[in-house]
Parts: sequence; C-alpha cells; structure tokens
Amino acid sequence: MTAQDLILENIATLAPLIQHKEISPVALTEAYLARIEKLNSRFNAYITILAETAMAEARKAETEIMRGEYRGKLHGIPMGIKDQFLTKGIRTTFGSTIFGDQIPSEDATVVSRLKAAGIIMLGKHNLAEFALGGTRKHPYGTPRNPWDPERIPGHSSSGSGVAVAASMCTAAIGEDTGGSGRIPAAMCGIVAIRPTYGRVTRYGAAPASWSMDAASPMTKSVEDCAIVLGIIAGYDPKDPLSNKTPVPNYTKNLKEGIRGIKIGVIKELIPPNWAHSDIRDAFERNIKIFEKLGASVSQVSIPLINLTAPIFVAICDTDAAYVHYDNIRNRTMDYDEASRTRLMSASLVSAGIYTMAQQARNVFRNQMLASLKEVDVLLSPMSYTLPIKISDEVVAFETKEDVISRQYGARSFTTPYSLSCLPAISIPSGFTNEGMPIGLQIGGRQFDEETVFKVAYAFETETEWHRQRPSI
Amino acid sequence: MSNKPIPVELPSNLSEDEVQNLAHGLGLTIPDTDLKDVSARFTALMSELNKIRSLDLSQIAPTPIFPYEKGECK
Repeated sequence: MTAQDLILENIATLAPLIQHKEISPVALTEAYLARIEKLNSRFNAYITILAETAMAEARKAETEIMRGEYRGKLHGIPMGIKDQFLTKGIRTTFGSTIFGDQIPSEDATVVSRLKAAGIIMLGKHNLAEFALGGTRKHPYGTPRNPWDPERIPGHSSSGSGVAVAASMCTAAIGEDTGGSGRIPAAMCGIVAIRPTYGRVTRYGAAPASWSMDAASPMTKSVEDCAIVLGIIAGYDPKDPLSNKTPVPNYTKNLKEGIRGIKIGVIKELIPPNWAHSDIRDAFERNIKIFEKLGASVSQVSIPLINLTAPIFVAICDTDAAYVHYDNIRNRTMDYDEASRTRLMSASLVSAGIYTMAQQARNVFRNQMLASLKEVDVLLSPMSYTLPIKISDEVVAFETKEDVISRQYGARSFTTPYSLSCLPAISIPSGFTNEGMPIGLQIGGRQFDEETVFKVAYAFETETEWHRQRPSI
Repeated sequence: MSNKPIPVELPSNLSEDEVQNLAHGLGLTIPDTDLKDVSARFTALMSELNKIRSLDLSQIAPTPIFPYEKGECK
C-alpha cells in the first residue's frame, strides 16, 4: 500500500507497520499534509496547519524508530488537536477572535502526554466558538460534514469529527462536555468516547462546565479510541479533580467477546415513533446484532432522563457564563451571536435555580446508577434526527417553543452521561437512506470504560459501517 | 425545609423588557438585536425547569462531583 492508501487506515493498522519500519512516518505525514492542503478550504476542519513542525516531528520519529527507540502505538501517528487545548508556542484560539493571537507558554496536559507518546501534530482543529456549540458564524470558517457539505458535522468538536472522517488525520483529541465529542462522531461516522469525569485531566483546556468537561478521543475505530484514551488518562497534579484510580490497559480485554453481557435499552428514549424512521430501523437492527453476539438485551427505565436537557443547560451554561463573566460584559460584540445569546441567557439564572438543578442532577444520577446495577451497559441511539442543514442552524431563536423544539430533545441523549459523570461512547451503526451516518451510544459504569470498549468493539467487528469513507 | 425546591413557579413568560431589566440588574446590557433570542432561551429554560419542581429534593445535596468509592457499581 502507498502512503496515500494508508492515510485511510486507523492507528491499530498503522502502528505495527511503523514499528516494523514498513512505512515511514515522514511519508505518512507528507500524505496527510497533501490531503489537508487539498480539502481544508472546502471542509474547514483545521484552524492552524502545522506543516513545518509536523514534518520535523515526523523526521524525529523516523530517526528514533530506525534506532530501535519505538515508544508505543502512537509513535509516528499523525493526529490533530481541537483548538480548545493549549499548545506551547502554537496559536490557540478557542475558536474565537478574542483569543485570535493567543500563543500559550505551555501545553495542556493531554497534549504533553500525546507528545511524549510520539504523535505528530498536524494542526489545530476548528470548533464551535469556545466549545459552546451552535456557532452561527465561525470566525475561522464553517466546518462542513464530509458526507454532505451542506449539513453540520455536529458540535462542538466539529473540526475534529470532520478531520478524522475525511482522513485529514489518523485520530483527534476533541472535548465532550455535553456531547461535543460524541455528537460530531455520530454525525461524521466515526468513534468518540466521553470518559468518566476525572479519568482525564482538564488542565489546559478552555473550560465550559468545570464539573462536566472531559477530553474525548475521536478515532476511526473502537480499538484506536482505547489506545488513545490509555495514553491521555490518569491523574494529573495540575487538575485536582482528576482521579487517582489506576488506568487499566484498555486493549487487553477488548476482544474477549460479550457473551453473557447484560445490555439495557433506555426505554424513555425510544417512545413510539420516537425518531426518523431510518434511525429507528437502524437501532432495531443494532439490537439484533448484540443478541447474536450472545448479549442479553432488556429495557431499563430512567424516569428523569427526558428532563436532563434543562438540568444540563441550567448547570453547564451557568458555569460557562461565569467563565465568560468579564468578556461577555466588556467584549460583548466580539462573541458570535449564538455564544453571546446563550451566555447572556445563562447569566440570568439565579443561585436558587442553579442549586435546584444540581439537586435534580443527583436524583437523576442515582437513577442511572440504579439501572447500571441491573445491566452492564446502557444502550441508546445518539439522536432522533439527522444532521440539519447549515442554513437551518444559523437562524436565531424566536420563541421559547422554538428553543425547546430545536435544542432540548436532542440533548436528552448525550447529557445524561455528562450529568452523571459516567463514560459513554458513540460508534457508527448504520446510514440513512440519504447516506448520512447514524451513531449508537453505549454507556457504562464509573471508571468502567473497559466494558464500554469491549461491547463497542464486539459490535464493530460484526459490522462494516466504521470502514466506510465519504466520497470526497 | 420545603419539600419543593422552589415554592413558586419559575418565570417562564417574562417579556423582553423584563428580561432586559433582569440583565441590567446583573450588569449586562443585552443588545436590541439579541433580545428576542435571549428571552426565548431564558423563558424556555424556566419553562422546562418548572417540570422538576415536583421532585422532592429536600434531602438531596447539590453535589456536582461524585467521589468514586472502590467497588462502587463495578
């Protein structure tokens, strides 16, 4: 295979070829940079392309590997980083003009861990402004879905989703506060995990909600996701809320199968006629695949799950309003319209309402934990709708009914894991008749990413959706 | 303590002027062009949060982070 063919492959395929000197990190990086050069103006996946430093890193990796100093599975792998993470000496915009000239003096810990593992950083990925989602006018170009450039790729790790799906990098680091990694993964046909809160350090990532922010590996396969999480996970003294629970080898038990595993379908998320028929049909087919693999599938009830969207907004948006307290008052018009109106609305939430939302969050979390005593993992679709057209997203809200209809329902799928601090992965699970990817969500117990990966991997090996690439 | 977290209904029908006045009290001025959008977002949130007022939260601590106890739910 040529380097041009190899850029379509995943880490699990490329790593042994790099380790055994069958492919050159330099040739691979050149091929990715050529593809980025060709596609980025169309899809706006990258804000900053690091051609020179990437080539220097590739040459260094190649030299080390030729000397027998192979560091591990990410050594020589070209990746992209969401521009929400600080990168030493490299412009970090957070997707905003307010930070358009920011050159950090240090790396986010996630970035320094990936560098130590030997990645080649191709560039910084585009995102919704301040990772808030719903940006109406992206300062650095509108990210476009590689499966249909007229449609959104999902927020807020939009550029990362686009870049991985369009093979403009092998893998990416996104971020997932309320679904910002999982949603673009579902809409772009790739894999992303939101780890247990505290599993990965937040240090050096632009914050949205301090109690929900989590770095999110975004990859072409489940095994890749397990590999990347294994590198970035673990306690960081710079983040006092990162957890000291030992990091397991996430690939060790990946392939042992799921016979006997108990899977719970969240019944409140699948009421009659609950979704676009293509999504409904795909979900029903997906359940049969798990049953064929030897898992038992039953329904579980989580009564409060349909109220997680307002609970999430009351907490996350209010946290974000505090993060932006000064700038939203003093640099108001430097924000995108959607970020500005979202932060201003959240600024009006009182302490009593915020506290009530946190209490409701606890009640909800107990319901999630109770369901996870009945089953090993929870299963749901990633959404009930298809990715909307970009032209539909840029329309301002007119009424409260408009907000509820366009925003709240969709958030019931991803925010449950954010609020309850539990891990969840999105994996490709089919395509609509229009050729848009469909995502499936598997959620698990606290710090039990191993089981989540194992179930996702078993499903992936029975299907071919993760191997499909957009025709671009 | 009340069994209901907020004893009165949350303000889900505020006018745009009332939203602007609330913002002014917090040191914010909502641009005229944004007022409809901000009002829609805020009243939508209040409207949806009214649905959780029926929960008995009197014994529930508003703890946002949940310490992991070894063996819990594993």
